[in-house]
Amino acid sequence: MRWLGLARRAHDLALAHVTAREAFGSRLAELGMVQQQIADNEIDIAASRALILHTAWVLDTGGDAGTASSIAKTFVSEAVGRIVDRAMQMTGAVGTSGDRLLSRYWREVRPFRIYDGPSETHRWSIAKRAVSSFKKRGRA
Amino acid sequence: MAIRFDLEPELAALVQRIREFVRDVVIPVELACKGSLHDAPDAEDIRRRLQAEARAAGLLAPHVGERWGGHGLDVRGQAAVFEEAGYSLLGPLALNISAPDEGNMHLLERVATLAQQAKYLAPLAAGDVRSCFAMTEPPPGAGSDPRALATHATRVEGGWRIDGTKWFITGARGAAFAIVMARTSGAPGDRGGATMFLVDGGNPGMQIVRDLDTLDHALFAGHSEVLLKIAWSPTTRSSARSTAASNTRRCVWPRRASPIACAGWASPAAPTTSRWPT
Ligand SMILES: Cc1cc2nc3c(=O)[nH]c(=O)nc-3n(C[C@H](O)[C@H](O)[C@H](O)COP(=O)(O)OP(=O)(O)OC[C@H]3O[C@@H](n4cnc5c(N)ncnc54)[C@H](O)[C@@H]3O)c2cc1C
Repeated sequence: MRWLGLARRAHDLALAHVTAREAFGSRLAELGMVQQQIADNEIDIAASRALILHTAWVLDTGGDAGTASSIAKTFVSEAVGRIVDRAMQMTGAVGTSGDRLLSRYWREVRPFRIYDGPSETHRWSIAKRAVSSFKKRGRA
Repeated sequence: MAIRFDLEPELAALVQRIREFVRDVVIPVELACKGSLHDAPDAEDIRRRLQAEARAAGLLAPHVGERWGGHGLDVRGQAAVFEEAGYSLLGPLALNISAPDEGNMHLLERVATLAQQAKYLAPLAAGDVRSCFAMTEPPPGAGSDPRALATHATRVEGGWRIDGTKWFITGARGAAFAIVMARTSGAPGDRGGATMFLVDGGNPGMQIVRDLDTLDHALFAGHSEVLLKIAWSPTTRSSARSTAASNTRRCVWPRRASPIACAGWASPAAPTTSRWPT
């Protein structure tokens, strides 16, 4: 939730750079491989928000959010890392420096994959629930 | 029936106000300190200044119930508000919804007694004090696997004795109180047996050993290693009554962990109970 906001900020900072900076006779934002990173960030932002909203819905309607929250936590913590990392790539050297908050953000979001349960323990729990639910159903 | 993704008008207006607040008030401060608060000598001033502005704008602790000064948001409302606050690294701090205080408020609102709420939740939600949550321990203690919990609490006449070491405790330095996870039954490796205790920050048995040097610089007051040798025995009780030692209160660890889960994406049925929201 909060880190998704910061990922959006990192993405906006990257957009500011690639829409202003000229290279190879055009703006960076007109180059295909930069556009791919812009699009991938948009996809990760949209998917993260959708998973968060779904988990919120499960919780607000009194459901068991165990699997939904593990899925959301794992995906969003990793997506946020990818978004900020791509933003840094698009911004070039200055994005790695103290001249831009991006380098600060890159460091801030990394521990998110460890606290609140590392990705591995959430994946483990998601898989165990899937297996036990399949066993209950008993067939494919 | 179509799935709705739009926010009801009141919530949309709140999100819009937060967007403007973050842009006009928070981001200039974030730029000035480069989002780094761990070593900033005026960090506490920055926190108080930002929270005073949020209070004036009616945006402080929006997640808690109205009786605690908030908007009583449901999880969906929190998701929208927290995302908008997160647009600046200091937005959650400004709105008093950053880790670990936000999760602790959520927890106290749900499981604490009225007296505990008056004493701990009210000043926390108002931004008058900060708090911390102490679960993680150095090896071989609790981390990914909460069953390894080694800090133990034993009943002594009139109170509890708590012994253990915690580390990576965000915001421990300067916290008015800690919510401490300690084992009241079983041995390290056993499932269950954990109880949360409210320990006042001034308790002489709670000492900061060191501050860890971490990648992040924005979670307020950083992350500390904390030694717990909390004694509340009948012989010390009378002299300690006016001090923090008299305020080691037991809080209930709910059987079903799910009310806590929504604050921290914890996975109730999984062997992971870490719960500081992000
Ligand atoms: C910035 C930050 C702030 C924190 N704040 C707090 C706080 O305020 N209070 C608090 O109590 N704690 C806090 N923590 C600690 C955090 O909760 C723990 O780091 C987390 O629970 C993981 O425990 P551990 O570090 O002991 O890792 P370990 O238990 O040593 O695990 C190490 C790694 O092993 C892997 N692993 C673990 N289990 C499995 C599995 N089942 N399958 C496969 N791989 C696995 C994972 O990759 C994991 O990262 C904080 C941590 C950080 C980084």
